[in-house]
Parts: sequence; C-alpha cells; structure tokens
Amino acid sequence: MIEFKDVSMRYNGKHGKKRALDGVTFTINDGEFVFITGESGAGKTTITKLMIHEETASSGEIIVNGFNLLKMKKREIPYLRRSMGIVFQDYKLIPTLTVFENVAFALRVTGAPVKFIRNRVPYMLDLVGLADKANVYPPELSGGEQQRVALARALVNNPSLLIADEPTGNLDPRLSTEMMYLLDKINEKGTTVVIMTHEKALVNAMQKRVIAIKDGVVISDKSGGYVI
Amino acid sequence: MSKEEKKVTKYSWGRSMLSTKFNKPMAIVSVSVLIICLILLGTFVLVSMNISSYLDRLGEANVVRVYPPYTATQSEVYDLKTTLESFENVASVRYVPKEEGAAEFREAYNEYGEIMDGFEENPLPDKFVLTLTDLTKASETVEKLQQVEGVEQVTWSADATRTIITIKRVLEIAGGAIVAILAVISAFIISNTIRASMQSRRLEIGIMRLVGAKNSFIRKPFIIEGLVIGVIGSAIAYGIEYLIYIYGMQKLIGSIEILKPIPFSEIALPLAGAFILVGVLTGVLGSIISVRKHLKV
Repeated sequence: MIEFKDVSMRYNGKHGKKRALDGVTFTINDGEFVFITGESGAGKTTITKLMIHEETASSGEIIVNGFNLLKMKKREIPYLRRSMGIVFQDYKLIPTLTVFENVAFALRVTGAPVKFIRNRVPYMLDLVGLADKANVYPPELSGGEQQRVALARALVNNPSLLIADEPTGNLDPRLSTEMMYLLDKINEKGTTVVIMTHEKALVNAMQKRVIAIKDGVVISDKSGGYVI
Repeated sequence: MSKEEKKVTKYSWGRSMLSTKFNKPMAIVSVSVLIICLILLGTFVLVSMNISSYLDRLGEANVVRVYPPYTATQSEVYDLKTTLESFENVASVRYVPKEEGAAEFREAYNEYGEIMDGFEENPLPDKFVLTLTDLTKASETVEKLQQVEGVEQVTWSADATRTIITIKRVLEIAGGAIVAILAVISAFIISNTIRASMQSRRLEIGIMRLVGAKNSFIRKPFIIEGLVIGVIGSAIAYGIEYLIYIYGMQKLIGSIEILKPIPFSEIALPLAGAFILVGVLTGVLGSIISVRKHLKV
C-alpha cells in the first residue's frame, strides 16, 4: 500500500526554492493497477524518487509497504527497496553481466541461496519470454528485450509492489502494448503496479485508475482514460 | 556472521576479483608502488637490524662491573650475588673470581698477557659482570648499584653506552618516519585505484542501491580489492626482499670481517609479519578512505 498525505517537495534551485510537488495526497491499495500521468516536469519522477526513498519529501507523510518514509532510519532503506520492484525508462542493466546474472543480481544482494537463484531466475526469464536469452549480454538485446530483463529483475524478489517510471519510453508502440499486457498479467497475480507515463494511447487502451499531475499538484484521480 | 552476510561476502569476493581484472593497469600500478615502498622499508629495517645486532655484540657497551670489597667473605659474596640477581634492570649476573679474571686477561691481550707473569700474586679483584635489560636506564641502574651494601665499586663504559643508545634511537626514529611516509604514499595510490574502480562501476553501485543492497554489500568488494592488492604486493615484495638480502646485503655485510650478518632464517618471520601487516593495512585503509569519500551511501 502507498499513502501520500499532503506531500510537498521543494528543491533549492538557482533562482531560489523550486516547488516540485505541492500538497499531493493519494492512496494506492494493494493489488491496484494505477497510472500516474503528466507531462514531463509535472512531478512524476519526483513521486517515483520519493516512493523509493531516493529523495526525502520536504513535508507531509509517505507510507510505502508499512515503512514511514519521512521517519525511517537510513539502514532500513534496503529493506524498503527489497519490498518493491523498480523499472526505469533506461533499463539500468549492467552491460558486463549476462541476462541471467543481471536478474540474479537482485537476489544475490539479499544473500539468497545459490540453489534458489538457480531455480528462480529461469522461472522469471520464462515469465517475461526470455528463457533462451539467459547467457546473452544486454547490449546484444533489443530495447524491448532489455526492458523485459529489467522487469524480470524487478520481480525476482517477489515484491508486493512494482513501480515503473516511463517503462515504455524507449519502446515502439507494438512493444509498448506488449509490455502493458505483461504488467497487467503481473497485476492479475496480485502485485500492485504503479506506472508513471505520459503516453496517452497506452493509458486510454488500458482503462485503469489514473492519477493526473500538473505542476506538482494532483488535478484528477479517477478510473478511465488519459486526463491531460 | 549471519547466513545472509556469509552469502553476500562470498559474492563480494567474486565481484572484487572481477573488478581487479577490469582495472588491470591501475591495480598493477598500485601493487608496484606498494612493492617498491615495502622493499625500501624492508631494506632499511634489515640494515638497521644488522647494525643493532652488531652494536649489541660489541659487548663493551652492555657491561657493568661490580666489585665487592677485597675483604669480603665467601658468604658475603654469595649474598651480594643474590641481591644483584634480583636487581631491577639487571639481565644477567656472572661471578668472575680473580683466577678466572687473570685467564681472561691473558687471552684477551695475547702476547701482552705475559704482564700477568710479572706479579707474584694475582693483582685482580673478584668481580661481578652484569648485563642490563634496558641500556637507556644504564646510568640510573649504576647509580643505584653504587648504593648497595657490600659493593666497593661499580664501573661501566658510559660513553660507549650513550653512543649506542643514540645510534639505536636515531635508527628507530628514522625507521618510524620511513614507515609512516611510505605507508601514506601507498595508501594514497591504492585509494586512487579504488576510486577509479568505483567510478567505472557507478552504474552497478546505483543498481545495487535500487535493488536493496545494504551499504556493507556495496562497500565490501572495494575493501576486498584493497586487501587483495595489499596481500599480493606484500607477498611479491617479500620474495624480492629475500633475494636482495641473500644475494646482496648478506654478501656485502659478510665481506667486512667484524660484521656478522644475521641469518635470514632468524628474520624471516618478523619480516613476513611486518610486510603482511603494512601491506594489508595500507590496502584496506586506502580503500576505506576512498569508499568513505566517494561512495555516499
């Protein structure tokens, strides 16, 4: 579950303080599929960074998977991040590791047993349709394939929450639709899915809950199509 | 160590070896600098150890002679020996009766030893020959010995002792300074290598954080890398130092007749200990400095 209560975020910019978010409030319950939409610069990436505790809000209250983000200790951050999977527009794969090792990476970090890794990683690769690419290096893959590797890595820990920041930003429309279908499938299995995007067609096609952000403020929160 | 930590440590080793492979040129530079520093250090230590050992063997320096009065009886001499043996800062006590003293004199002065024949009766007194534990406290000990009951006279070569103490002290201070300077240089070079290694793996570090790696997990490979550089450097340096000592210094020192070089077997262990200690400390310290400074986790 994600709770944002009156969250504001100010950056210290060149021309004084810059307001990135202003009084943002919403709740995403377990098992939901939610789009957070807005033009670039609206505050989507700031919301992502706050959710994964890469940045700390200036004021308000954020609760993610039971962690109170403004009050938690620094050493608890790894445990928060293990409770979620994160996918980025630029995939963030390690080019010198094979597809298998890239996915296994998220498990090794938690000290998972080798035997478990050997079983779990092929299962994940199969789920995203890359079972035959386990020993390939990321630069040899297409954008869509790389994004699916990133997705496999995000899900390998069996997180209850998946956050995707512009996951289809680098994909063509056909691959984007495929990716959405995959995310929907994952959501059906019980994982909460939160997607930051500005792609109108995709949002309209999915007909899910949409939280629309403009200039750091929530302007609409309802099910259906793209708002702005 | 918890189960998670054990698994993670095993993985860290693998990743750090990998990175040493990737940053080969920098790692080689680090190891080389460490080797040069250790060899300079080792050579200095070996030379000063040989000088020290020579000074100790000079003998004259670390000898204090205590003379009981002529009139002392057998039991008084015996009592004095017991007192001296339990005296502070006294390492050994040897009783030299006058007959033995005469024999020593004859031996020490060869043909001049015949001087002794000119005497009807042995002119030498009985004496105790003492060696001290701590030469630097020699003058205090001598002063105290002079106040002991049943002691007629105490003699010692104050100048020689002072000179030796000074030389040893200079060697110690110079040695300490050299160790410090070389360790700082090595640590600096190693920390640069680790920084380069971290910069080449910035993406990986970022991903580690995103997937929930603990700080210790992120730091470990770099610390291990420093450790590996330290261990490899000190092992190679030790081998080279061995060759230098056996084929260079030992022959050189041995060619001067009065100097007897210390056999390598006697210094092998302390030297190995010192090399590993300095190597590992600078390696680990170098990487900790870098990790602390550049890895804001």
